[in-house]
Amino acid sequence: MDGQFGQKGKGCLFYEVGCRGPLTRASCNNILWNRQSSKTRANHPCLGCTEPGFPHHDLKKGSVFKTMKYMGVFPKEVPEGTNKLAYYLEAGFQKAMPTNHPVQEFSK
Amino acid sequence: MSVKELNISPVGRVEGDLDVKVYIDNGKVTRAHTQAAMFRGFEKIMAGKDPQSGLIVTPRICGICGGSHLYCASSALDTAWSTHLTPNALLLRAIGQATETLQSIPRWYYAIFATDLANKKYADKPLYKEVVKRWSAYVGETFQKGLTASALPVQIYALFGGQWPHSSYMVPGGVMCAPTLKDITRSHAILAQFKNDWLEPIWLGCSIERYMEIESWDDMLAWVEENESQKNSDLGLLIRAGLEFGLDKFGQGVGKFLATGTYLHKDLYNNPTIEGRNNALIQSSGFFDGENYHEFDHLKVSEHVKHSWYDNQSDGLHPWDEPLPTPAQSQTLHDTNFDSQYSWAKSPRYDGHAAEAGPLARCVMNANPANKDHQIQDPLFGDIIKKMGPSVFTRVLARVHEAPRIYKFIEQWLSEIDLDGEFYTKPVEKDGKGFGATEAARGALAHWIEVKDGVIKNYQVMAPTTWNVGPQDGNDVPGPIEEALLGTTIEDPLDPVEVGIVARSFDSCLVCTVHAHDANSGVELSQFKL
Repeated sequence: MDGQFGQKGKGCLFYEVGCRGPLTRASCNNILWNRQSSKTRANHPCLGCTEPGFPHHDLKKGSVFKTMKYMGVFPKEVPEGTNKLAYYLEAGFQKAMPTNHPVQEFSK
Repeated sequence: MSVKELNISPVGRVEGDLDVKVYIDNGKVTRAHTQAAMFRGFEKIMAGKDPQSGLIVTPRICGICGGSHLYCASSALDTAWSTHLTPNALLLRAIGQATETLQSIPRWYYAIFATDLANKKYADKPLYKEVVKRWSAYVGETFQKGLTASALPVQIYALFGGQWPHSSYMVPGGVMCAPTLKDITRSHAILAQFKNDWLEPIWLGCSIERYMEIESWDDMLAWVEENESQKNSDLGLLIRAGLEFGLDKFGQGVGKFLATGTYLHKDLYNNPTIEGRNNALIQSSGFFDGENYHEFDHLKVSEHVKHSWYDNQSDGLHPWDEPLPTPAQSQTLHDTNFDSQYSWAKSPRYDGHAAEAGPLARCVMNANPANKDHQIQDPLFGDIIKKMGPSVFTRVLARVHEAPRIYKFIEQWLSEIDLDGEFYTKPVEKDGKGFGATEAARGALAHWIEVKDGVIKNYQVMAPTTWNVGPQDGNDVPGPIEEALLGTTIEDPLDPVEVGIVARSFDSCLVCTVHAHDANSGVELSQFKL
């Protein structure tokens, strides 16, 4: 997702729009909100609201619905206990050759 | 004995951050003060932060009106950044706002309001038994059904926003989601369940279409008597019991109404501007002074702080000109000097007037003959206000009157979404001032923002409860709830349920600690949690 909203299931919300899904422990996707959905299911980046420190980065300029990066490429944060370089490599491979094939859904 | 037991206030209604002090003389309230007893400081949290912070922070101001705050926060940035909004984006925002309001109607009616009618004060009224049977807290027959149904509309919100409350799916430039046919179909099914479980069989006793034919107070009374089904529906009972219990005889208030309006039309607000907003509204905005309608102009809104616990601010400033709040020293209700500062709420004024916000204000605007074809045109409450004036009864009736219309709107808007169309247009971020507003379930809600050097310089939120619960203004003129309490007859000073009924008729979303004082001796009669 190239920093865009309003598109159906294209790519990962983590790299451009500040999704904190990989950094967050929560039951949203297990029990579902209002018995229906969750933020990430509705194309909404996770805000990490169950994690200490929310709202993260103290809402400083450039941190809201944007991924904070090094050199404009590498996300500054990766999941706890993950080697940054390994995460970038794995993510790069997944982007190029995803092991989970995206399910295409047609609207009409 | 069982009846008495049902009257015990449930746990959910004994906490809150609003205190009310009333003075009772000869059984009537002669002086009333509302005290918002908690400082929130949300505006201060956002100062110096990312311009989009309001999208995350403000929905968390309230667990019921989060979607309304989001509607305002995204709209304020839309005007500041001159975004483009597609018809789909406007439809999905309107659906979010409408589902949240629809949720609030049965939830408020049963959980907050109707249980007061089961108070022993009304035990000698012929309809009391039936009221207790249906509306007593938790155990009432339709209390449970209404509350269960109230969870349904926001399931639709969750399909598009991911969750309710506390979603941030409305963003400047549109919405985050891109729904599929599955989401639309499921939404229709949920909506139908709401209608079939509660709205038609329990609440109306007739079809939505039949109910919406009502155009005058006489029509309404005729509708009640038309058949047993309508007469015995919850709405039929509310009208009969409301009049029998005398709810139309107290809680008048200031008689002036303000609505900021909501539901921006999908084809009329694609290039958002503050000036173009009034014309694009489906639920129209306006100010009604008791005689005449006036077009809403946000520049005529100001806030007074003479009686509010804020320092370093003068009276009568427009929100863009207001400084961020500087809290002053507050006191407990007991130690408060009401000639001085006495509430954390400010006093909003429109063109200098105190005005009531809420569903009654909206229904009054619906009767404005100047409303355009795409706007709601419903003369009912113009007639009711003329015939009966504002009261606890008319305020409650207006709130529940909205449910059928909102239902129809959601149904229509769902069918108008173009699933192959666009939902979001990426905006260019820039400095500037913005204004966004909506109608939360309980009334006019507005956000003002100023972005400078790429961060928030000023953010001001004006909530409907601020309009209603605000203290006296710079000229010591009381706020709407304070005014509405004046003259109220308190039958039993040891159980002043009437005060709670007036406060709750505004859906102030707060539980009141009421201190009743004898006006002559100044002796505190009792201290209550209602």
